Amino acid sequence: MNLLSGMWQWLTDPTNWSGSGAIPARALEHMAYSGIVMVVAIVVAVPLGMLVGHTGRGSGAVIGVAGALRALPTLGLLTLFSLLMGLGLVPPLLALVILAVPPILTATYAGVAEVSPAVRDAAKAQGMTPTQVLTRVEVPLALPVAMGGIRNAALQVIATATVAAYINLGGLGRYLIDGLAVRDYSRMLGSVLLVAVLALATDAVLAALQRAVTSPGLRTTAH
Amino acid sequence: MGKNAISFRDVRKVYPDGTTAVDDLNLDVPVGSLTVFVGPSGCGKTTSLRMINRMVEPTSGQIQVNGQDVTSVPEAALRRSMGYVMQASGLMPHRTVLENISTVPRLLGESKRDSKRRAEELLETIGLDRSLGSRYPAQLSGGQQQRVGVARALAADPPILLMDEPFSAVDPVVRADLQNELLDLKQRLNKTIVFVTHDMDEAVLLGDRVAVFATGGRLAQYATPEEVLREPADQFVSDFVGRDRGFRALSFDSRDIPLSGVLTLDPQGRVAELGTPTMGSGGSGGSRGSTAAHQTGPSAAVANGWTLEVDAAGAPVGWIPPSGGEPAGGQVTHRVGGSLYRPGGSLRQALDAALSSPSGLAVAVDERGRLRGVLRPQEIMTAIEAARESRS
Amino acid sequence: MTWLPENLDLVLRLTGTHLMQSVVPVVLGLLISVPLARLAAGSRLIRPLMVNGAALLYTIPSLTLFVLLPVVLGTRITSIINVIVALTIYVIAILVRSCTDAFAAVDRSVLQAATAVGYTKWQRFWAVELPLAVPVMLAGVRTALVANISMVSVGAVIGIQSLGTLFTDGLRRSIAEEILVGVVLTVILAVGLDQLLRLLGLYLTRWQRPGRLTADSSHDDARRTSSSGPQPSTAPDPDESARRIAATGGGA
Repeated sequence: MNLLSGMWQWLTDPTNWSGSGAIPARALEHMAYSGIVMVVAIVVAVPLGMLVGHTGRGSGAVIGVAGALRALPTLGLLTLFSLLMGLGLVPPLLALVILAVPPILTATYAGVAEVSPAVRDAAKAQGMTPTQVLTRVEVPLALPVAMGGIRNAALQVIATATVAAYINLGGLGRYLIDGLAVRDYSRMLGSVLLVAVLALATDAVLAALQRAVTSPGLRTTAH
Repeated sequence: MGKNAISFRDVRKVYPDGTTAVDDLNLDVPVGSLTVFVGPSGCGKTTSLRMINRMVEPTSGQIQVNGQDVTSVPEAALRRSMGYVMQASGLMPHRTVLENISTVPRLLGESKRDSKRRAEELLETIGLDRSLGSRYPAQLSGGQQQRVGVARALAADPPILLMDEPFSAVDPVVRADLQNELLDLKQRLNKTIVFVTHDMDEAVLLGDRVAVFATGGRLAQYATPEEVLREPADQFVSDFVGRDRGFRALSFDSRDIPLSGVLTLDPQGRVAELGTPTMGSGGSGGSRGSTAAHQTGPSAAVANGWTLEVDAAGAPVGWIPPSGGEPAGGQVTHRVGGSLYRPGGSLRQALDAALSSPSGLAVAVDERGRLRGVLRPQEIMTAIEAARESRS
Repeated sequence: MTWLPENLDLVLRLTGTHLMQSVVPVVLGLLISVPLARLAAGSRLIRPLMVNGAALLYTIPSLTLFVLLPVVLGTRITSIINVIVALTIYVIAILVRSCTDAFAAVDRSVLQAATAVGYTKWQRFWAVELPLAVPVMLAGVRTALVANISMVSVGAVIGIQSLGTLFTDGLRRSIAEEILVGVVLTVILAVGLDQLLRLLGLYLTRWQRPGRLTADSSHDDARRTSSSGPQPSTAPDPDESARRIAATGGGA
């Protein structure tokens, strides 16, 4: 239990809360990495998932590729990329994008593909153009499901961005790696606790966002 | 027959796998008519309907709407110009009832406020409360959803309404309501309606004209419902129309059938013979006992021993079997049920009322449901025979 | 390509410990989740509590647990027990939910029929409910296993031995081949075990395969895209659930 009190001391030490290597700066770095990764992953995965869900073409390939990507170990990619591409931000961010794409892709695809054929048919029969069917019917109906995938990806990215510190980058993982090097267990505990808080907070925000984009008409049907 | 709203010219639809859905269809739908496409599964009736608004494109042939080839109009514009109601209401689950009804006007660029006002009016037209407007489809019953589907189809006031088995997924009681309301709407709104169903009774009830499709996409007969029932064009139609077709055909005849009187029992326990003065204990002036007597006088009461119980308003309640003068309380009453003969009713209704009555007598009521008298089977048969003779 | 032949012993040893760290939590998690889920599926009160609780567990990063557990368990920080316990927690987070769905999706009329022919509650569970819940349940198990195999490697960052050790060691010594071997073996483990579970699933759900009896007559009206009828079926089809779970599974 002295470990926990050590952690508490570390967390409440004012010197850890100001300056360039301090907790707020590290948290900001952590959020920046995760933010960049999420933006890139969303830009790649959401349109692709919508396209495949809308046309129904290539769905087998998308599910297959997403499944294969999921099997790739992020730490392996991160170390391999750093070794091959050198140090810098690109290797870890690329590895994290590969981590984030599958859940967003499959969720977006599933959201669009699950739109009832009757609703789609009715929209067409009322005289909606294919673009209108996509933007006015399929997107609003798929959004809650796609947001579920985005939430999930964000959780994984924030958790895994911790290991970016392993290749000499910043973020909250810095304290974990540095603490490990000098056997400062309190600092390690503090580090992982902060990551957990960040993950929980982000998930709460995204959950609220997910609720906001879900039409009340869909909430009543949800079991 | 006037102008045609929709014309099929040598239309064929063959699917890539080689099945023929529609085979050389030629058919004209007159302006303002309600035309029913009826037939078994796989006969091409739905495919034919969906070719009108280009949800399905024909393999060959031409479809004209108001004399214009449908392929000359962009798909979306063509579909906005026609109402479409489908079996599963197909309402957008993420939009409110009002937003759903406003779909086509909004697509046509109408303002939100105008389309909302119109949608509210339509809710009343189709018999739904305005308060339902802000609900979501999942919060409505199946019948209500189907009504909203009809309102959505009517929202842009299209001259043509396409209905694809719209009432087949609701229970029989709601279906009967919806059918009556559709007939009522048709009277009021003067639309050309094409209606697809697999139910011959529905076709006969609703259609001005009925197109019977045979398996393989062949149009077997296109005629009035009466003609289809009386003179099926071929073996397929007569099989499809079914064994009851002689009985169903009676729907199109109505004649005057002489009424007979009947013994009645009112809530006060007074027995009367309809059309004759009250016989029971005096009570409050005896006016109740003769409620139906002001109707055109029935002849002498039928003496088969059955007594008809009536309520205070004079409406029939049930039949009491002949049982050697037991007290009223101990008698078994057979409910009259739904099959009653109303003024102007068809011979089918008269015959059914007699056949479904435990006493063998058809109960005739007036417009307000009060007892007028009874019809004897012999006289119904005489009327049926007279109708047949007058036709030939 | 000389690294692998020279280090075959190490690779085999790490593969073994990696397997243990990913498979044991799935077995433990399943043993804990099934009774919990059966309890939750039958109760309107417990179900949201348990499903939400599972979702909350799921938001805790794995490294957080790897570092926190030694404090609670008294283990050394590099012990694989920390990983096994942490991943068991994740497996429960995934499986409580999918098993609850699985039990809830079992056709009620089948259960009533089973009771009507005289099964006791206990017999009914083993003979009817559990087999019928397998397809949906299995989708969750597959997701959990693939996620585990990927997560185990993360432990290498704080010195827990697994195939992930090949990543950290390869980076430190700049041997790309070592890292590549680790990545390829991880993928082989994930895909191989997933396929094994798929086959097991096929065996356990022989009753579900369409037989020759159900020759489908296609008719024109069935061609309509709207032919799916007014209400979508409430019973989830297993592929669909797999997709759903896949869309919400796996964390690092």
